[in-house]
Amino acid sequence: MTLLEQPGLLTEPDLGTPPTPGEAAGDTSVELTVDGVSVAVAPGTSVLRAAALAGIDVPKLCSTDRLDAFGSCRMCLVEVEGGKGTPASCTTPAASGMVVRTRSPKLDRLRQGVVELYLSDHPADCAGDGRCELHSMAERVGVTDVRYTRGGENHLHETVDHSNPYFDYDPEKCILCSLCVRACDDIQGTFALTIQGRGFDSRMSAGTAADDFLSSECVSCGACVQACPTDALLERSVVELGMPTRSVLTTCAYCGVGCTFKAELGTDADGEEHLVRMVPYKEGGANEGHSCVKGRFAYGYAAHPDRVLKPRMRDNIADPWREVEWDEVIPFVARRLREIQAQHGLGSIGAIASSRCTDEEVFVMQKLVRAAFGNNNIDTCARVCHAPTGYGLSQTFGTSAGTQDFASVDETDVILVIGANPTDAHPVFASRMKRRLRQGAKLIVVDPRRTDLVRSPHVRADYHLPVRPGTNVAVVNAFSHVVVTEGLVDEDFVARRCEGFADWAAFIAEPEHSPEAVEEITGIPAADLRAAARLYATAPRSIIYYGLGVTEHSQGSTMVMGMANLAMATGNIGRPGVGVNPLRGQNNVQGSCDMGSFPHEYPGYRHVGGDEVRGIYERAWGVPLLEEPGLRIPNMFDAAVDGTYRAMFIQGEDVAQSDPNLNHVRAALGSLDFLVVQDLFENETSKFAHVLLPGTSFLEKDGTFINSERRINRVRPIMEPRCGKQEWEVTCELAQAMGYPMHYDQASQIMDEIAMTTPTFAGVSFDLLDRVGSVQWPCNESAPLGTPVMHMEEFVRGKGRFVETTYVPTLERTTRRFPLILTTGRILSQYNVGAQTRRTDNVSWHERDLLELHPHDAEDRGIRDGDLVTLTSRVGTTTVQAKVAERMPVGVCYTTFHHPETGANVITTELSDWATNCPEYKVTAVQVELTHPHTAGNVAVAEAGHVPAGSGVGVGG
Amino acid sequence: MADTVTEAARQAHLQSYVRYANEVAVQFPRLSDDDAAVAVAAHIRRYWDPSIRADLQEHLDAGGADLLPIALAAARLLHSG
Repeated sequence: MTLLEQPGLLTEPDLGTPPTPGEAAGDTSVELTVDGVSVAVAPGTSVLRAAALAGIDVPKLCSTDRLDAFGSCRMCLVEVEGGKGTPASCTTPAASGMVVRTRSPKLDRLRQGVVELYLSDHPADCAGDGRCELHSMAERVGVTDVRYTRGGENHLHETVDHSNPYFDYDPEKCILCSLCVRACDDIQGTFALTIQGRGFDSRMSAGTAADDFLSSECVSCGACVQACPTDALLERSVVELGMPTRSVLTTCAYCGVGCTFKAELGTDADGEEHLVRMVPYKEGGANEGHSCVKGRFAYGYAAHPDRVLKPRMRDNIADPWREVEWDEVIPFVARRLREIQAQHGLGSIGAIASSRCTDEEVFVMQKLVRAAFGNNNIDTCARVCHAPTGYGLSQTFGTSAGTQDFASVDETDVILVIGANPTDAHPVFASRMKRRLRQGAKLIVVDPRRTDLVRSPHVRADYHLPVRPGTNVAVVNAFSHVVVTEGLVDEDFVARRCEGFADWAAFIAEPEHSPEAVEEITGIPAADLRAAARLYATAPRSIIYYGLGVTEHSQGSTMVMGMANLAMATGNIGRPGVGVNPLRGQNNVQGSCDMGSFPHEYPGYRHVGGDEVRGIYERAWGVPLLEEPGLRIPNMFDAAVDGTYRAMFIQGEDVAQSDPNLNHVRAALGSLDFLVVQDLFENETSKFAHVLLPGTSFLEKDGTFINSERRINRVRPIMEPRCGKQEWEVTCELAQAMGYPMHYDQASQIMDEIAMTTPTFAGVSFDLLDRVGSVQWPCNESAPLGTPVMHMEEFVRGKGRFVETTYVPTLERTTRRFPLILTTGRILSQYNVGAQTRRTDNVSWHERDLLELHPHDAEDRGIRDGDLVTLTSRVGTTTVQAKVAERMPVGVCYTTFHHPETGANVITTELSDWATNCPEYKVTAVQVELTHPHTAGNVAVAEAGHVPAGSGVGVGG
Repeated sequence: MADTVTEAARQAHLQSYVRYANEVAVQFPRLSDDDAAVAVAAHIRRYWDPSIRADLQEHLDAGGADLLPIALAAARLLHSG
């Protein structure tokens, strides 16, 4: 029976201590006997783990196979023949010939004594629902009475810390096993928890004695709660709803890490089933049992009363909505779209697919457009984030995806992070990265801001290169210049695996690319850049991670190719521990791109102009298909204003908040004859819609997401769709109403069609995923269980291609009128436009967007921390609260776009990546001024940290 | 009035494509002008919707104002097939 088939609550085996490297390699050279059972294990394996591998469960309270042994609880004691005393089996290594006893009258007495002592200072009433392992252990070792009274000095009646919105800390239930502290240190890597005091005064504490959980450094990842063997740290949802009784394995719908969770459900007295909690799954390929505050706790939006649950229609966008039934709205939408096509041409309509939807939903959406609409006007919100990744990696390596699995970070020696802030945007992967850094890997961070990764507990970047926004290509060229001119090229790799090297090397060796020559441009001291380049080039294994700080530039695609050049020149491609890896923003950006949601390519990144590939789809879909690319999102907006593009279907994307130059976007949406929006909630875009269709949350979806490492994960529903239909069903019904037959009985049939038509997915099926958990594409006959590391023997395109990457400055320049550069990003507790996270208690950490600027820039403008400031670019104006921050460089300011009232994208401009039109979000020339002179009222506002109502978006020129 | 608005929108629309074409054109400074024009034309042919290429053609026919020389040459190549 697989874990997936386990009925009820899914429990994962815990072998007590982590595996040794030898175990993974199959080494079983140490043979011992435990309770008469022979077992062979790898050298270094603990006796506790050896016993577990022999099927013997030794009592334990402070050990887990996710953390190194600690030897604190004294429950896992054993006897070893010929040895002295009763050592803790968690800290005793197995040895050949060892004969171990885990049960004996003496051991039983010792364990009973230990448990009695724990219980003497532990509330008797915490045993409800079997949650408290201490009480379960007492029962197991036969403790029925506690000889020691609770009348003496004890820790009972201590104050419970309710400050965290998602879990409580009750010190009276704490047994000081340190599991929570070790989880925070070793798994999460935040070091927020500690044991304060000595002896009887010892307490687990979040932060300093003056802190509570909310005010401490705790990032609310939930690792401590998961590790706690008692009720001391407990999800509030468990307190309110009781212990869950069954599990569904599924995938988080937040960032591109793609964490696997056990959705744990329970039934109330009325027989109604509730989601009690989300617990990270140890076997999850991407997260291996870890989580962040969003995936672990911020799922409440799915049940939020704001959810749109019935279709809505209106004749004009100024009219109120009218709720209708599906059987009214689908024929209406189909009729209107056909009418508009009849009047204005086949190309007058189109659609935007969502990177939050499943692969199956995206696949049928692009099929709707290509086969039923009869054009290629399908684009995806990846247009505004990682389209340059697709272009750049395709040009150099031959396919549009990152090269490695996440596990590669465990084997690397140097980590180069460019334009990414993983501790906020990809926190679960960041924890893994930080673990490797604590083990000694070197770190280079290229980022204008001093991000948390540059300096945090037990992590310090060897080099932080504070690049001036917009000059990335000059930086990466300088890296490569050092490699080529200092003889650091991996000549053998280049000769065997690449083409175009000689021309590229001549180009990059030119003096204009030297660190000294570009220092004025990039703002990075040449000596630092040289040293960082040498570090990257000379390490046995160096790996690049990058984010939107690379792609969202006018030369985003060029920069991606520049990084690919650097990796190839140093031989850092095609093996574990190296590579070029985008950290994708949304949960299924990778999948939505893989599924053919760009206007110029079919699933699997194959151009629509190729007769052979087009023939595959024409035969499968039974209609002729266009051989020319369709409109990109910005083209759609331009054409809408122009009047040649008249109707649009936007699924799961709030373009009127997330896209740049919002005044233009709003003008475009307002110009459409007919706009259909499908989403969980009303949003900024639906204000312009004539039809609003309800969507499904990830808790209702059935399908797959693909994460940043190309891992195809199953998304399994815990309930029926709250709106009555899966989104792919709605899309199919719309196609049918438009006269194109499209029908599937279940989502797995869509994946079957994807596999049938896409060589890189040929081996993928729901059956396979249910059997093996997840696979990374390519998954086909050559790689039946997927491909963790790409380009091992040869590149997808055969030879890796060096591309000359000339640095071309952005047209966006600072001027006397707009002297600062604005760059935008994300914070840990919020996600994208905030539609989900703003509807959860995550607002406890971030209730509004802030504008961070350097103290020097603030002082120049008379701005103090908390002041309201007006942020103006050449395209718009908005108002935001200032945060004076030392981590900003002089001349650069930063904000997030999680709250619509901030309207950060009113400010961002129309400029975009030359190859893909991905917006240049990261470089906008702005001015920042005090909104009001300092008055008593404004000072009060600043001190209270409140933004007055009505201080949101202003629209200016 | 409506025609004026439409014409203004049309001009803004065309200006966007002029800008896009120029942004592509400046990415190949190491190539000869002829080769750069070929590269720009190939990029536009591969990634741009035919209606936009037609707009660019219309702009070219009207004199091609504001197009950089390489973009202009690329537009001519697109026209000649």
